[in-house]
Amino acid sequence: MCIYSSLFQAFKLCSTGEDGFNLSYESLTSEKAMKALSEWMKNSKDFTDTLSRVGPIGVEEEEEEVTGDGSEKAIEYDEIDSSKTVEEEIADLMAGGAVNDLEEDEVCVGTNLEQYIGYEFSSQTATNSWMKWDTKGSH
Amino acid sequence: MGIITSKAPEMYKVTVIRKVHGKYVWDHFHCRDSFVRNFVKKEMKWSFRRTTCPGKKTPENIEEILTDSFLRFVWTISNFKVLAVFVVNSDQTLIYYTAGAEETYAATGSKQVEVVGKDERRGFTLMVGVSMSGEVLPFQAIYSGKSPASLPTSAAPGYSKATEDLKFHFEYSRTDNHWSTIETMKSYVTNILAPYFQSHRERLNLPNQICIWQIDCWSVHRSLEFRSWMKANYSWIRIHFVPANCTGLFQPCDVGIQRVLKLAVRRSALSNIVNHTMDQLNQGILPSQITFEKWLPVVRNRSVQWLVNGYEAINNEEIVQKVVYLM
Repeated sequence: MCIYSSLFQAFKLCSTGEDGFNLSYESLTSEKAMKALSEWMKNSKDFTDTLSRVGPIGVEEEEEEVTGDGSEKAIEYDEIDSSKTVEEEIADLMAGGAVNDLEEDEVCVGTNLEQYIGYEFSSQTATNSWMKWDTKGSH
Repeated sequence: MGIITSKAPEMYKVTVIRKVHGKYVWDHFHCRDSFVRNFVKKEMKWSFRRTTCPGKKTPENIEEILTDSFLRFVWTISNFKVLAVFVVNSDQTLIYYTAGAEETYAATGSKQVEVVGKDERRGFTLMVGVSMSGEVLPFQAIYSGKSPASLPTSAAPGYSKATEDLKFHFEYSRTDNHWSTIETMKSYVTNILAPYFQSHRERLNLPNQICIWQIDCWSVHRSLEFRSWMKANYSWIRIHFVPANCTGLFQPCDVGIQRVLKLAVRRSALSNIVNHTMDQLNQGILPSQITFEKWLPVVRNRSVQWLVNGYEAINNEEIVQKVVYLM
């Protein structure tokens, strides 16, 4: 069974951490998860006691109150780059989460790059060639 | 972008090199947010300001909390033989009419930051739901107002597709803001969530199937009134709460869906703005005199197409190459 969907990926990215469990259906129904459940139930009476109740399940802890007017707080850049295409965003998601590889200083706008267009900057060697060029520029 | 497109389109032909996933690739210039930030910072000595609130702290025993939550899922799924189609995560998100209205630029060092057009910081709440089997549930969009006059009209671009094909629900909040309320939550369950589950119960001939609904710990969700209502009317839908302050880690909509959705919505909104700007420039209006459409009925109507585009972005058939019901 081969599934390629950003929706499945969204569930898969919800990981418990080192145990390697996540909210994908495969993980939730895995033998490993069943074993872990069994162990957890043995070790935590509170957990076991709350399982079969009818009410909602989960940690019913209050969300932390957010305070302050926020007018002069540390600046947090908007994580959504509107010039990025949806396809690029989905590709990042499928690659394992939101990735922002584009650093400001890594964008090089120039007019003198044409000299490097050609075999030297084929799609396969563009990285090396550009980095070589970039090194020269910095000296 | 509208001004560049109209006055200096050659900018888009300038060659640039970008780093993507660790590799350098050729590209043409795009007016990326990072470029704008860089430009206003270096050329205009402005810094980026946002009226934001401090982030929430992740609990110290996060792994234990998430494992606990995970195992509760495992228990419910195994105990009631719950199939993936019967597990849904829903989450609310805010959509602003004016893209970037919560942000502005100000001279570095300035103390008072006035957000231009703050009065226009209007938007609506969008309830998004996705199933573990890879389905996107119809959207519920909640607009501020006390009558149907506060909703997009049938003349809105994309309205027919939104309401008839995709079964979106447009609702007014019955309050002065666009926040979701217990009434809109009940409506979501009655008109979107329960029918979704019910259709699969019928399809699979599982009339008594227990279903799982994962939502965050928002006070309305946790309220006795809402829980009592759920218990009385939909006792077969078991609620699993996302652990507090863990929505960015353990809420699928938050982790992987909203970002794509919001990007698609924002690009649609920006497209409207760019087109409107170019129309004005083409009419001979000076760049300094350009205005943005802020009339609520207009932007509200535009939002329908944004949502259609957003829905299609997260439900992209090219991406979903093979949707299989996990049974």
